[in-house]
Amino acid sequence: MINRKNRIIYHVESAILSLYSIIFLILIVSGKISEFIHPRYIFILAGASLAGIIIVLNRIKENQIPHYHGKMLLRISIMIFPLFLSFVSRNMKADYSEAAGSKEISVDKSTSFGFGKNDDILEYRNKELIILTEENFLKVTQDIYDNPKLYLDRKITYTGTVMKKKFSGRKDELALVRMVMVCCAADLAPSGFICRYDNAFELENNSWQIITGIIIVETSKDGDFPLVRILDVRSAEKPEQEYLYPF
Amino acid sequence: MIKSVLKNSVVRRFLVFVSIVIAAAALSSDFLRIKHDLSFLYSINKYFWAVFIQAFPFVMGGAFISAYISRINSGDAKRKWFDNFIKRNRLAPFVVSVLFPSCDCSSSVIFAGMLKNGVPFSSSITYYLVAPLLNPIVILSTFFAFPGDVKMIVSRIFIGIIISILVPLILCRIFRDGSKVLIEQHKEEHSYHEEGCSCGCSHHSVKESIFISAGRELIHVLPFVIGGIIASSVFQTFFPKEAFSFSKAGSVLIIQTLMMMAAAFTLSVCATSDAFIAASFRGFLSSGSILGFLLLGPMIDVKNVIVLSSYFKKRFVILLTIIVFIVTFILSIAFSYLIFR
Repeated sequence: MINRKNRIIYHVESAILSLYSIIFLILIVSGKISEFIHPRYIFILAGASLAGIIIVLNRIKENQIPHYHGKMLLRISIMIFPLFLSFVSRNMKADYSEAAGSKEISVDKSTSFGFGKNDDILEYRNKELIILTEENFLKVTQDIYDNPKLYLDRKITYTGTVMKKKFSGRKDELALVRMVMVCCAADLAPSGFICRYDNAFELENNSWQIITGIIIVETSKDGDFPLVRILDVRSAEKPEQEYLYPF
Repeated sequence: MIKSVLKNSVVRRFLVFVSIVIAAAALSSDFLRIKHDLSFLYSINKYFWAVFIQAFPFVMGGAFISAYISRINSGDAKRKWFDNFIKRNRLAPFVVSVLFPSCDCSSSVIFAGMLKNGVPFSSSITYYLVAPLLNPIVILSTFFAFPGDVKMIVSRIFIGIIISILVPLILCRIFRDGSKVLIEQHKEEHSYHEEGCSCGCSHHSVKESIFISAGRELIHVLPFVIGGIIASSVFQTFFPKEAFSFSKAGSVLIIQTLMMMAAAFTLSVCATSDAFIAASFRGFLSSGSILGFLLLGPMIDVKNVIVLSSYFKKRFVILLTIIVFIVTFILSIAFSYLIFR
């Protein structure tokens, strides 16, 4: 009876390990893995998943059933709990204003990603229309925050997701941001600008929009702070690469 | 009659199972019509998978390193070299940390593996504490998060090394026999099998047995890693980092440092990305408190405590946590006055 119980636990553990390895491989092949971790980890995750499968094959071959003791049912329950959690929350959608610990985050406190000044940036400082792309988004945004007055009254256009929070209490305020991933989805942080738009109420939270606006600067006791006054707004498709990766 | 039926363990287990199934069905449908109130589950789920997927290869790596250490036979030249190097050379933990970078997810597994295989107690603790801080990716991320702030980058490494020397000194005074801190089950288990040994197990080639040992290690530690990540996901969902920022400018350094260390402990942020989170507190929290956050997180947090408790006795895990916390706190405050003022 004990042998039979041990055998079942042994195979259940192997099945769970192989299941996780297969889930990771499916996420890698489908490209969905970039929603969870930085692409630089994909190769080591693929290696670890394959190693997981080899471990399971070795366990089947070995077939040496250990004598289990302790709370095995609890161990197994903990191991399968994440699958249950995923099942329960499968229909829920991301809310960037709540996700990634950004409940109260304001875009002005967005993380500095350590880009130094270089000739690329000087080029943007002289442009009449600044077009933010996935490649230049972070360094240009940071330069605008560092030197807001250099960009005063310049036109700017970019795509982002709407984040509706009470920044200063004004009804015409919203933020249009891109989420930045340094390591994994647990450290997602918003980067972008607080925008002023009379019809802000029309824009749905977490919807993707492309805006064109003018950079304005507000001065407070904390210093100069750049904002965007929206001139034109159109709904946009969610980009293929949802997150930005600083390095 | 009903009482006697309920006393039957099979019936009780069946009732628990049915309750779980009903709860799952209710949660996954509109049956309770409270779906909108359960959005925190999405957040927990997202945090969990993000951290788990990222941690999985490192835990796996830790299991393989641990298995490799245990597989080198005692008569082997490699084993002799390794034993001599790590047992006699006080700098060995630092050299190993740089040569074989690991993060906080794998260091606990390697720590236990080292101790099981006779590596001195103090060297094992030093490796566990310093390895995540000397990881090149961690150093690089601190460099990017604090551009030009040489004091912060150097302090993190330098004070980290001091902590990793001081903590084992204190713990070695308390635990005279380091092997006794391991849970009996780990002390007694066969870490490797030599030809002709009387363990009764079948013997495999080196490669096969490394995979088998690593598999055992991984399967053993996986529920604790999952449990630890679930705990930190719950903390991150209900206590986002901003919840710890109420001690803003004006409050004393001691309170700020304690708050930031509490944040590092509960949030269990990966060592490779914690510098960016710490950097977002710059400007309204003191550098000393940010340093406390950067030092404590990679060494000890909720996730690590749960994983450590799968290998070590409760008393050791509690004392290790408390001592690391106190030493980090004192050094953060002291260096804050010495360097950042």
